[in-house]
Amino acid sequence: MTIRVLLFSVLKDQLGVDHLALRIRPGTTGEGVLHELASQYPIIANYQPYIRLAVNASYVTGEVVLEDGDDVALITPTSGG
Amino acid sequence: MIVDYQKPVGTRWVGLGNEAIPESKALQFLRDEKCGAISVFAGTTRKWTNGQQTTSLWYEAYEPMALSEMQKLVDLAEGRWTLHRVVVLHRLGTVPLEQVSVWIGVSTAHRADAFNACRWLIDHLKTEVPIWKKDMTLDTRDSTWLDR
Repeated sequence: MTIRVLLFSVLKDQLGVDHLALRIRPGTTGEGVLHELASQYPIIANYQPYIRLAVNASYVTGEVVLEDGDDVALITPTSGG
Repeated sequence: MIVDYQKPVGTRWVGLGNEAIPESKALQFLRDEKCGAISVFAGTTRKWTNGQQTTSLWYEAYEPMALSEMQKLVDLAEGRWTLHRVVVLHRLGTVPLEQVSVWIGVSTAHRADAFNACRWLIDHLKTEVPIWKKDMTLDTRDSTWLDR
């Protein structure tokens, strides 16, 4: 299964890309993906405690089980307004 | 990138755009004979923050989610207060000094609901809607993404 991880703001700037394609095993959770990414990318590890996850443009909790083709957004603390 | 602030639907206008926010149209949209109050919050680009000089702000969004979260906030606000009309518009890209980045307005029968709903909407927009701003400073090496 493949998911797309969407990056914005500081994560997009620091990693130099606006998304990552990630192959995952069936049953992988949002929290599992975040943990995996944090182990690969120090900038994601730095923000891990503050990141909220969204799947297909809605906020989710970390326990959400991901499906093939999902868009998983890493939402760092927002600063609109 | 979305450029047009969408169009009002019924009694609400929720949108993202790249150009100046159409404030006069938004204010006109809020007028309603059932209402005795209109409350508006406009967020603008400030030059000085803690001695650091800002030249402009840069905003980006996860656009489809930003729009749906803005709609959800209006749904919630309409559950708490009787709002006759609501506007939530956010500008993306560069917002020069003094110009408006976010424009929120509500019209209600009486002023208390207008003040309260407007305050609630901007407070929750800041924490819930996936929009981020970068403070573009005079020394570009110091330009930073803000996290609040």
